[in-house]
Amino acid sequence: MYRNQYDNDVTVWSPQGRLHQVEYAMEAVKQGSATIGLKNEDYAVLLALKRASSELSAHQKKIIPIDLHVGVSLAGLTADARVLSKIMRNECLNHRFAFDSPLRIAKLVSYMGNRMQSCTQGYDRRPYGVGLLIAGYDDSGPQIYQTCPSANFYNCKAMAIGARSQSARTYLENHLDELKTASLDDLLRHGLRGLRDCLPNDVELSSKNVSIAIVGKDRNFTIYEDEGCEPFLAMIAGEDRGRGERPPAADDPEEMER
Amino acid sequence: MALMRDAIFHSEGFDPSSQMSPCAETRNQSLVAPRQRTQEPTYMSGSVIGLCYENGVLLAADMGATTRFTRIPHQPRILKINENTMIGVSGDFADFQYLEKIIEAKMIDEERKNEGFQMKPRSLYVYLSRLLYQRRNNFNPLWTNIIVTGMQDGKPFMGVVDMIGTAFETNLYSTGFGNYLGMGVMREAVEKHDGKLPLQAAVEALQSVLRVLYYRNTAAFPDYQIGNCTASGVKIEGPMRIDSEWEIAKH
Repeated sequence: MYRNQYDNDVTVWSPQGRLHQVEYAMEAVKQGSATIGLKNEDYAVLLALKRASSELSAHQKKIIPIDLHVGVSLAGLTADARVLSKIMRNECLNHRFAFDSPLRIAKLVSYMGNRMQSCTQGYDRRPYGVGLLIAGYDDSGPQIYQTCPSANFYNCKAMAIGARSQSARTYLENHLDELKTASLDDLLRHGLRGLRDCLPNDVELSSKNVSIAIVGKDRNFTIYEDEGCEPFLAMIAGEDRGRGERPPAADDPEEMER
Repeated sequence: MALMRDAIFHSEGFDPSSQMSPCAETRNQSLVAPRQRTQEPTYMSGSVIGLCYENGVLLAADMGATTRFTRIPHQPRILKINENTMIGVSGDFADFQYLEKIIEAKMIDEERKNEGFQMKPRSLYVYLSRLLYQRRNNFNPLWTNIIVTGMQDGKPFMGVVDMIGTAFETNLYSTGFGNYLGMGVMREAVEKHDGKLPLQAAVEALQSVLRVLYYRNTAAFPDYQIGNCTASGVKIEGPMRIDSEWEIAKH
């Protein structure tokens, strides 16, 4: 059953110098449905693909508001994301109480990094099995951060995580130069095209399976779901799929983060 | 008094309860004082006065602290906190020095965590109001009145916090005696210029308030500082001396 003898708990090193439990947790992120974050000069945008566990159930929410100026989208274990978002909400509220100002995103993320790291260092704990894209706006402009179960976090210009997200990353890399000066509508178009590349061939983007969130200058973190997504989906309606050069399908050849 | 008794007992290693029978203990219970927090201030400083003008904000205060018997001159009471914030503190001087220390620690911490971004005056004002209110809830107040001033997103800002945590924002204020003697002078200056008070007129208003306070308050000092916060930063000038005319006292 065990892949090897060095993965019983998170404190055990493999002879290659790896922590298998942490790496397994990183895999959980790749099982979750894809989500994309990107920004221009004034706005940060999150887009997420929602999944329904069956025909009869509703789609699982993918974007969680944290505070007026920040929110997250998740890939991986939803339960873990809810725990993390509760911690983040708490931090933001405390900061508003003590200083009457929004918590800076960099400060929030580094705090979360510390919180997430501590559980990768005890045999009685496990890493959080979720990757987050944190989108926010503060005095230094719009921000996109990625966090991992390994407790690494990255300040990103654009990022995609989750299942089949490599195609979205390729799309974003190809259009990276355009993002900074793009209008909000163009930014959303890029995001939707990237998200569409993460879908299997027989599935289309629809207002059912897409969530969009926007935060930025003079704009609080706002989530658009269901009918709210339709105006955005209309912006790329009728376009050919695969404008972002799809890589060979099959498994994501993602490199393991150490 | 209670504190003095404590000091005597403890300095001689004398524990009254261990030496007495239960009966005596009850009788002498008043000897064993409960722990007490600050009941009154010791070294006190005078008024801080502050005034928002056209494109900045001014703070002024005389320099020094007194008890009824002693005076410590040349103590600055206006602090530059960062490039867009300064505060003026009146009240217990030791509490001011304590505040000075924790605010400095806070600023270093903020700058470290925020990649060089500095705390804004409004945030400091709210932080201090929370701190002072918590201290009064513990029946251990910081015996101070604080005026926090600075440039908040390009606009002059002034917030006032008192020793029980009352906090409000305003455009002119004076702590202590100045609250009775100086507010009118400042308000008149602001109204005369229809809210667009030029720097020179604001400085003159503050100086005239300082002079009145110096004449009226035995505890006041003739040396003073004026802090000026504008979009280009905080500048604290002084010590300067209040020109006073005591010959008139002979009449």
